[in-house]
Amino acid sequence: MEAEQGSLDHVPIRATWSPSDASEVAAMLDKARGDGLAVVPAGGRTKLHWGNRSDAECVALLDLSRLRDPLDVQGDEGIAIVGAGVPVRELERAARAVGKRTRLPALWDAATVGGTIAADPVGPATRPHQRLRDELLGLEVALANGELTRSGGQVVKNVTGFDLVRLYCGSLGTLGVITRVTLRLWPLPELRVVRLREVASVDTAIQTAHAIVARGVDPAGLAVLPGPSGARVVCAVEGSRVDAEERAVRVAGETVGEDVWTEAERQVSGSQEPVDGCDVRVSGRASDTLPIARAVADAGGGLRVALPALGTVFARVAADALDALEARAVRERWAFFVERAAPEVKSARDVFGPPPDALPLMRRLKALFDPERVLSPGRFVGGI
Amino acid sequence: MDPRTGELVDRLRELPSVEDVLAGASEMFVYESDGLTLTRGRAAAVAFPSTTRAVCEIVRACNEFGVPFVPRGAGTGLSGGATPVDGCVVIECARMDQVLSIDAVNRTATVQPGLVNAHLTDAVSGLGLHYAPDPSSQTACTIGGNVAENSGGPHTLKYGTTSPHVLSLEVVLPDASVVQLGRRDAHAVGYDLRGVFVGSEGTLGIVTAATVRLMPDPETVCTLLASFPSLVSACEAVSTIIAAGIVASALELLDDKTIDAVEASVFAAGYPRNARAVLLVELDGTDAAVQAERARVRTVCQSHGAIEVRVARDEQEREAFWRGRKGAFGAMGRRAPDLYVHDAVVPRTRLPEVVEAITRAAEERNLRIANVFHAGDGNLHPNLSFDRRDADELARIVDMGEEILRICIEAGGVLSGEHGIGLEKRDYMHMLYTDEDLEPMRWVHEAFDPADACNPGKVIPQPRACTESNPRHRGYEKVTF
Repeated sequence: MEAEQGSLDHVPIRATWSPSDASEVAAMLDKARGDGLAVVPAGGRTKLHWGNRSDAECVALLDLSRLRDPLDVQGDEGIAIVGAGVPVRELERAARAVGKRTRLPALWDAATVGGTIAADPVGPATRPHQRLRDELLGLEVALANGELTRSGGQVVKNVTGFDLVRLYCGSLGTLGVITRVTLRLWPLPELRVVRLREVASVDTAIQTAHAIVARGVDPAGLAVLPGPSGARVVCAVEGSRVDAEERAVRVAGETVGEDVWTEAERQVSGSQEPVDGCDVRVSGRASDTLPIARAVADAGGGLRVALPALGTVFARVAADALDALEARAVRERWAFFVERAAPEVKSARDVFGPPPDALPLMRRLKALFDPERVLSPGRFVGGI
Repeated sequence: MDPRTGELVDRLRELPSVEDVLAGASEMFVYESDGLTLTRGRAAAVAFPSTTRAVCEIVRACNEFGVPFVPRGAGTGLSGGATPVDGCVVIECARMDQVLSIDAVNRTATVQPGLVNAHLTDAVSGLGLHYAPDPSSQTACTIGGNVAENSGGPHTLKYGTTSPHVLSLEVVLPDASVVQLGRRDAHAVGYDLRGVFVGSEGTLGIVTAATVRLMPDPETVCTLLASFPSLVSACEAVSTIIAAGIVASALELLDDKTIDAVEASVFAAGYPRNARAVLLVELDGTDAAVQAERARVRTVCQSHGAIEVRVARDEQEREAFWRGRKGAFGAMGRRAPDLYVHDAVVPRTRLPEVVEAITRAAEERNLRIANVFHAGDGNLHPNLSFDRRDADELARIVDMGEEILRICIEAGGVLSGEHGIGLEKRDYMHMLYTDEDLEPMRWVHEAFDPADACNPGKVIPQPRACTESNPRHRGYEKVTF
C-alpha cells in the first residue's frame, strides 16, 4: 500500500491501494469494511469525475490497473477473458491480432475494461440495440463482504439465474468491484468507410442523420459535430466489402479518414482537465435529439457532439444554467447527467438528475450488497 | 377447499377488474404444470386480470391471506417456472393481450404482458418492423413470459435474446406497489433493474406492461438448407462460417432423429431423409451483402462434405424450412407420449464432442434422444422422448437430465441458454455456482420480495448448508400418473 495525497471532489484520498490480483482486492475490501474506510475503485482514472461527491469523510482509492491478467483472447470461440485492469486499447489490439474486435467503447486512451463496464459510457459507435451490457458474458466481482464471486459464464447465451452481470454494469463500483471479465468478440469487418456530410446547421445535421438511418443504412456509428460554418454528420459503415460499399453510397457525402471519427469520439470523452462550465449528457429517444440540442442552445450551452441514433447530446453549459436545463429535461422525460463539474457545483446537486421512481428498490439493493457503505458511498444515483 | 381459501376466492371474484376466477378441481388440473410436465403443483385458484390495477388487487388480497401467487403467461415455459406452488393463486396474464401503443419513429411498442409474441410482429409488419426474439413457441408464448424467461430463439445469434429488446417494464412488485424499471429510451438511470428483472422467472414481480424495441425488416432474407453425412461435419461447417466473419442471423442444426420426426409429421419441410444432419442458415441484410454471403456459405458447406445445399426459392419454401425447425418439438409427439426438452449451452467449438457424449449417455440409459441446436450459439436442446407411466423410464430420464448438465458444465458450459432454471434446474445451480456466487442473487430476491410471496421456491436453491440438494429426492416425487 502506498500513501498518496490528493482528493476526489475535495474528499481527501487517504491512501491508494494497488492490488495485484483479485484475491487481494477482496482482502482489501474486507479490511476496509473492518476499518470503516470508504473505497473508490479506479481503473485508468479517466472517468473518476463521474458521479456525485462522496459523503465519506475520506476515501481509499482502489487502483485496479495492475489486474492485467489474464488477457485470453479466444478467436475460435469469439470470446475474451480479461483482467479488469487491462486497457480497452490493449484488448482491441489483442483481438485484432486474431481477426476479431470488441464492441467496448474505446473513448479514452487509458480506460480499462473494468472501469468501462462499471461506468457504462456510450459513444458514436454505440448502437441502440447493442449496448455495452449486451457484450458481457460473465464477471468476477469482489463484494463488500470480502467474497470473490462469479456471475454469468463463458458462453454466448446464458439464463442461469438472475442476470447479475447487467446489474453490475453501470453501477459505478457501488455494488462490487469487477476483477475479471468475459466478453464477446466480433469479426473484424472486411471494409470500413467513414463518410462526412457538411451541412448548414446542427438542426439540418440531426435531420440528415435521421434520414440516413431511415434509408436502412444501419450505421456502425453516427455522430453530429458542430463545424465552423454549420455542422458535420459523421457516419461509419462497415461489413463485407460489397455491403459496406453499398451502404456508403446511401450515406452520400465524402469519404474521410479515421481522424474525423476520432474527433467525434474525443468530443464524447470530453476534456480530461478541469474546464470552464460543466460537461452534461442529455438523453431521450432518437426523435428527441433535435429538441435536446435546441434546449441546450436555449440554455446557452455549446454542443460537443450529438448521437442521433441514441437520442444523446453531449454539451458544455455554464453552472448557472444547469438548473434550467435539468428542469426542462424533467418536463420532457429526458435523462440528465452532469458528467463533469467543479466540486462546489457537484456538492449542491445530484449529478444524475432526479432519481427514478425505483430508487427505494435501488437503496434496498445497496443496503444488502454493501450494508456498511464501503463502496463509493454517496457517489451514485440519489446519493446511494 | 378450506374455508379460508374459499374466502380468498370470493374476495378475488368481487374485484371489479378481474375478468374471471377459476377454482374448481378439474379446472386446476389444466394449470398443474407448464411445458415441463415432470413437476406439478395444485393451485387454489387461477385469476384472470385485465388491468394493472387488477393485478395489484389480486396481489394485495393474496398478501392479506398469506397466500403465495405465481404469474403465468401461456404456460409454454420448459423449466417449471410457472408450475403452481401448492395452494397458490395463479395470476394468468393471457387476457392482458393488448398493444397499448406503437412508436414507429423510434421503433418501439408498448404492450400488455399477455400479448402473444407473434401477434406483436403481426401488428407492426405493415410498418416494415418486427419484434426480433422468436422462440419456437412464438405463436403461443407471450411477451410477459418471454420477459420472465429472457427467451431466445433461432435469431438470437445475431439479434440477441429478449433482454436487449426490452426498454422498460411496468411491474407490480410483490408488495402490490407499481414501479417502472428502465426507461422508454433505454437510457438507464441508476442500477439496471430492468436488466436483472428480465429472466428472473416471475420471482421478482409481475410485468403488466413492456416497452420493447422493434427492428426494421431486413431488405433481403435468404435461407439455405445444407444436409450433411455427419453431425460433426455440420458442426465444423458452422465453425468455419463464423470464423469467416459471416454474421448469419440463424445457424440451426437438426440431427437425423429430429429429421425423421419432422418429416413424418404435419411439419414436414422436405428435409432430406438420407442426411445425418440438416443445417439451416439464414442471412439477412442488403441485397448485395446477402448474395455475396450466400455464395460463401454454399462454398463452406460443400467444403465440409455437404450432401446438398438448397436455397429457399421463395417465401413459401423458406417458411417450410422454418416450419420443420420450429415444429420439431411438436413433431416429437409421434415418438412417445411425453417429451423432455432439455436446454444447455457449451462453448461452440465443443459441440461435436458434447453431442457425442450425450448421445452415448442416452444409449447407456436406453433412452430415445433427438437433438436440435442453435449451433451458432453452442445452445443445444437434447429432446428425450418417454412415457411417464413407466416409472423406471422416468427415473432414467431424470438421471439423464443431470448427466446432460454434468457433461455440459465439464465442457465449460452453463445450465440453460434460454429455458431458464425454474424448478427443473434449481437444485443443480450448485453444479455451476458456489453459495457465495449465489448470495447476490438472494440479495436481489430479498430486495424485491422480502416476504417470498411471488413464485416462491424457483430459480435459487437453498444454501447447501440448509438442505440436501438432490432433485431426485425432492421435487420430482410430485410426478403424477
